[in-house]
Amino acid sequence: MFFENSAILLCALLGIAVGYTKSPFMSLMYSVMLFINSSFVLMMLGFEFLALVNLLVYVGALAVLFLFVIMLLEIPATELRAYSRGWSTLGVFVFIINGVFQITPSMGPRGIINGLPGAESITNLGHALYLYFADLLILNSLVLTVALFGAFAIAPVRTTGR
Amino acid sequence: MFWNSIVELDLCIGLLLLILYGLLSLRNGHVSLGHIRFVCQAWLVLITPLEVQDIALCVLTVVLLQSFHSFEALLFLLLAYIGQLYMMHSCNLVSFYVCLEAQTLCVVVLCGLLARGASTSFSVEAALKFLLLSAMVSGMALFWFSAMYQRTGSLDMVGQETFWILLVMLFKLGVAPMHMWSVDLYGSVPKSLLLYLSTAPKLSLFTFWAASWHHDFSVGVFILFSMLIGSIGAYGQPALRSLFAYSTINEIGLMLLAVETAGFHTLYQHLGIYIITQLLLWNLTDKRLFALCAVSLAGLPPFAGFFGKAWIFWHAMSVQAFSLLLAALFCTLLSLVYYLRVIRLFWTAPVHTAASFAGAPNQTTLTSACAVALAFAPVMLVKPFII
Repeated sequence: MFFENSAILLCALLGIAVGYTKSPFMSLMYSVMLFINSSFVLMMLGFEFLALVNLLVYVGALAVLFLFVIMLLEIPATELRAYSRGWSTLGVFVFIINGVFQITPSMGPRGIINGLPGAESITNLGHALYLYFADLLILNSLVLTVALFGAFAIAPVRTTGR
Repeated sequence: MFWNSIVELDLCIGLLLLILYGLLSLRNGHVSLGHIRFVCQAWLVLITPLEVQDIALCVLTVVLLQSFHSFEALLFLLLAYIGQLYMMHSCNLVSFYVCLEAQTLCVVVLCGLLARGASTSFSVEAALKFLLLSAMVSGMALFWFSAMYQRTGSLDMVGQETFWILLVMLFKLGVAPMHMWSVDLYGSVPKSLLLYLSTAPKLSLFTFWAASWHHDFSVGVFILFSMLIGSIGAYGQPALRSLFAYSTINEIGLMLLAVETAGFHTLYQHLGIYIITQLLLWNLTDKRLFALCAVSLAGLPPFAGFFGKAWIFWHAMSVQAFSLLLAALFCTLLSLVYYLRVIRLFWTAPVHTAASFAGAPNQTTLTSACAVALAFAPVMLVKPFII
């Protein structure tokens, strides 16, 4: 239990570090470390599929996306103005207040979780996605399609009209 | 469980077929947008709505589809309709979230899509603001959904995390102190989308609240905030749209009062009257009729707006929520003055009025139907007050 707790503490520290650096590149590096750490924590808790999917999606797609943005906009030469204006320090204060006043969800008694008790996590995930919530999955796929095309629609168009 | 939801699955498949039909027929020269719009409206009606709120949403969407002029807008509206229909009947957190995202994303994309001409940057800015704020708020809701699931192991809505989820719902409704996005959005969005934005999401969210949402604390703080900000905030506004955005915040505060006192019949009645008023408001080309519409919104008899508010106040009095009732009456009085200013401006109609009424010419049937409904509905509504 000590090992899981210390890994979660490392997650929290990396999360603070993502917001408290001056250079965007270091922020991206800390976020990659945070993603790998979170997938490590998930693996320790027994969610193997989620750990691998986390790694694939977050590090493989999202971090690479941010890296491309930083590369193409040539950001490393600049520094994040939010840090020097004090907003990042304010964010750290929010973390401290969160720790002091315990604004977290309570760990009450656990209820009955509907799943197959002996199955692996991916079997339970498959049952949930494709049996219990199958119609919501299709609706969600339509929503994600809307999000995909919405990114084109919201971007300002340079031609006249439309 | 899967076979119970096969009906809603059919809705999604029907939407996909409509997309195919639209895409195939736009290549064909004989099918115009009006035909596609008619097929969309007929599809909405043919999915048999079972309850009154379903029928209300169906009729509202059929009416709203009339004012959109591009094929993609119709599709996004239909997907948002499916999301709203699901949401009104959902009792599970996952379905609530997916439907909320369906409806919100479609509205966001429509904000950016319908930008044309000179107001392109305004619409894009409004769409971006709305997207960022609602995405962040939905993320917060998802966090508390998972916290509730972790604590209780069930996805039904019990527990103390409902406060934070309630904050998210109130954000989407446009309740103060989370109202700033609606004021900005109302001012920079084309009129047809404004019609949609001020009526359909509120109907679906309030129906979901009345049907499946249980919480054991009061929303009195939000009622007071909304009514105060809605009545006082409209005084400094130079633009008509932001003035009516603040009046919407006031009305939402009043509807929250109806929910707080558990008078759901009064909630639906006032919501119905409010929706008809909004449809009338943003469709008008005649200035004097606009003034009469503002009279109805202000809650002056003999128009139907008075009876919507009177029912809510009557029910609040009967459950003895006197402090909230006094605050609501005070704020209604405060808001009366800016409505009277609108009425004075539009009734006497001077030459240099800054409002522009470029309404579409095919709205006359809708306008006359709504005007008739507002003017003659009090005949049916006045009965409990006379006896």
